[in-house]
Order: sequence, then C-alpha cells, then structure tokens
Amino acid sequence: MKLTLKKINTFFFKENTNFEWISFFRIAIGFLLLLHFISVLPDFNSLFSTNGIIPSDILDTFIPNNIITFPKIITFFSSFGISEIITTLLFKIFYVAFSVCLIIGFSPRVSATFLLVLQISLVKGSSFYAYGVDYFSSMSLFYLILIPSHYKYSIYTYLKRNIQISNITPYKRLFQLHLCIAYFFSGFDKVLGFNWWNGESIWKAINLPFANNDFNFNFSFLAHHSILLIIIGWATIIIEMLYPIFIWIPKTRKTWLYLTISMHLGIALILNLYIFSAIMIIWNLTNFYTFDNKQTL
Amino acid sequence: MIKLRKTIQIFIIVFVLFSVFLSSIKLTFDGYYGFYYENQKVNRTTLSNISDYLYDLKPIFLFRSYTGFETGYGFFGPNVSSDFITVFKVYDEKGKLIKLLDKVNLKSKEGTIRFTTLNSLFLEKLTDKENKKFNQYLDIIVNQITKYVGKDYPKNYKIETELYLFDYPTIVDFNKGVDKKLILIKKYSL
Repeated sequence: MKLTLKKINTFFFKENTNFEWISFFRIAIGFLLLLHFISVLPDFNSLFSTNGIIPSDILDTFIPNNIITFPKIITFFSSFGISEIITTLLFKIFYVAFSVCLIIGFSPRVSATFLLVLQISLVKGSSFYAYGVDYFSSMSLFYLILIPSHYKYSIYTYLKRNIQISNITPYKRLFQLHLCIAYFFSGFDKVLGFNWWNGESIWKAINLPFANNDFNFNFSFLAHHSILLIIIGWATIIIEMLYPIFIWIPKTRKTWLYLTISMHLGIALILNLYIFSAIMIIWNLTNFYTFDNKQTL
Repeated sequence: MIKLRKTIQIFIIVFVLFSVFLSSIKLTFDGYYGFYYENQKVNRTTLSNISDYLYDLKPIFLFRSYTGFETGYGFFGPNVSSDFITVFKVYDEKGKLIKLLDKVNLKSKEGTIRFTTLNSLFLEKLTDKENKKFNQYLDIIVNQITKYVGKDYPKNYKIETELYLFDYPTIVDFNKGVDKKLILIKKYSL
C-alpha cells in the first residue's frame, strides 16, 4: 500500500525541469487560435453579429442567462452608447492581441484567461456553429491558465527577468490522463456501434457531403474491397482504445504516437477538418513527445 | 505552504478528471441510447441516471460551459450521423427559376464549415417529431436562412428552400449500383 502511494506520489509530483512541452503548447495553440480566428473573419458578421444569417435573439433562445455570449457583450456596451460596430472591432483586436501575447509568452496566463472569455462568448453566442475544435480550443486555454508556460521561449526569458519556477508535473500528468481518457472513450463509443464492425461507418464518413471536397479522392474501389473498410474501422478503434496503454510504455510510445498522428492526418486529408486535426496533433505532441530526447515524460 | 499547494493541486486534478469522466460517460450513454433505442422509452441504467444528474449540477454546468469540458469524445461513435443538404431555388418576378444554390453564399471556407455544422440540428426533425416546439424553432431558423439568401435578389423574387436528407448507399447497395439519394424533408418559401 505504502509503495503504491509512493509510486502515485512520484508519478504526479516528481519535479521535471523540462519545460519545452508547455512552451510548445502555448506557441502552437496561440498560432492555431489566431489562424482559426482570422480564417473566419470574412464571415464574422454573417455568423456572429446580432443581425447575422440567424439573428442572435433566435440563436440565444436556449442559452442560460449565466453564460456570457458575444451578443450579450454587444448589448452591455450599447447601454453605454458604444455601437455594435465598435464593440465588434474591439473584440477582433483584443482576440488577435491576446493570441499574439500567448505566442510571445507575454503574461500567458492572463492572456489565456481573457482569450478564453472571448472565445467562449463567441462559441456560446452561436453554439449551432460550434464544432469539436472549439471545445478543444477552450480546454487548451484552460490548461494554459492552469500551467505556467513562460519558463522557456517567452518574452520574459528574452528579457532575462528573474522567473520563479514551480513544479508543473502534476498538471502535465492531469493533461496526459485527460488525453488518455478522451481516446479511450473515442474508441469505446465507436465499438458500441455495429456499423463500426463492418466498415459501414468508415464508408459513410468518407462519403458525407462535407467530406473529401478538397482532394476529391475516388473511394469507390473501397466498396469493392470492403475488407479494407473493416480493417480501417477496427484499426481506428484499436488505436484509440489502446492509446492509454501503449502510449505509456516507452518501447511502444513512439509507434503509438505516430499511428495516432497518422490517423489525424488522414482525418485532415479526407474529412478536410484541418484545424481539428491540427489541435489533436498538438495535444499529442505536447503530452507524449519527448522534447528533450529522453525516454521519461 | 507547500502542503497547501499540494492539496490544491490534488483537488484540481481530481475535479478535472471527474469532469472529463462525467462528460464521457454521460455522452456515451446518450449516444448509445440514441442509436439503439431511438424514439423508444427505455429504462436507463443507474449509472446513466447518476451521470445525467451530476452533469446538470450548477457548479459542474458552469465549469464545463466555461472551459469546453462539456464535450464528449465519441467522434462518429457509435454511429456516423446522417447529414442534410439545403437547396435554394431563386425564382424571378415571373416565377421562372433563375438560380439553384446548394449552399449559403459565405466568403470563407471556415465560415462554410461552421455554417454546415448547423445541419446536425435537423436530425432532431427526423428523430424527435413529437417535439413540436423545437420543430417550429427549426422552421424559424430555415426561414431566416431563406431570408438571408433572398437579400442578394430583388424584393419581388421568390426564394424556395428545400431541406433534404443525404442518403448515401450502404456498401452492399453501392456494389449493386444504387446511387446516392436526396430525400425531401420539407420545403420552405419566401
């Protein structure tokens, strides 16, 4: 019992001076959020303003009062005589500014906090337009609030300020376990559906109207060789469900990491969900790529 | 001080992992019952009822809403949902069809991806036909989209929106030569 507790204690609390993983995470998430935000700017008003395609009073119908939304921010500032145009412009400026602050490591925890509020307000205000990447962006910002990420590759190290280092291993373990649970349930939910056993789900996914529009691969040969679809379906389930085991074994870690990244690259190429795939790859590299070329995580 | 810090860290780890497990379990049950017992009244397991109850507790609701931890991790599990297609028909003042659009005119690819996620709402139209209020709400949404499409045309033009279920053949049917079908769900006009 004592030995088990000691092992758990070491696992969660043994200090590690490698901070490259969290610096990588901060910079990568900063860039991704910036890119994601800029990519939707041409349609910002159509999707998020009070007079968009679907007006905010209709979008807001099922949003509880205690959730901050972009239209609520607009209404709040309009009570001080600030127009929607100005509020929207300031919103965009702050979103970009805080993303840049994250990238350069200028008060990353404060920047992540403000960015999370802005991001949540945007996503919640038009929740019908939200998809997987938005939730992972929010969770990423939560981790950047929780974990100090300015120890390396930040403006502070450039200015050579005296930085007080704290033990961030507990939060790294939390983040790693979170990713393992996510992959396990991702595989588990799939194995519950019989269409995942016979290749039908893969077949349906690659032929969805929003999928495969960029490269237009011809997948009809897969129907003639449906065994391939069955193999792809089961491979996805195995990679995901066994992730929490093989990613922790030093000998299999790299293989499992590359298999998982390959799966996400496949999703990017075929389903054209580039940003979602990118954020999943970032989460994988952050948690299980050994930045200091050692076997220890 | 070190002990207090450690206690706080343990609390955070336990709470966050609990939240992750809770969303995962709750949404796994939702997916499972939704797929196998669609439109059927079924006695859910105790674990499912407990996870439903805890998931909606106010502190947990606020935490997951403001941090993104409300997400499930199923990604196409247990089933890949059906998708929908909206077709917009533009008629001139004489009632002549002048344009056929298969999507709302948005300027960015990301905007189009985001707007397409709205389609998942229409699944409710098929799976929960009893929910009249929500169906009316969906009709309002489609009418708004129709209005938006109409903005690009003169006021005396008529816009018709048709909502279709995208039905792709199964592997067996595809090999028999069956082609994809669009099944009309509802027509709207403005």
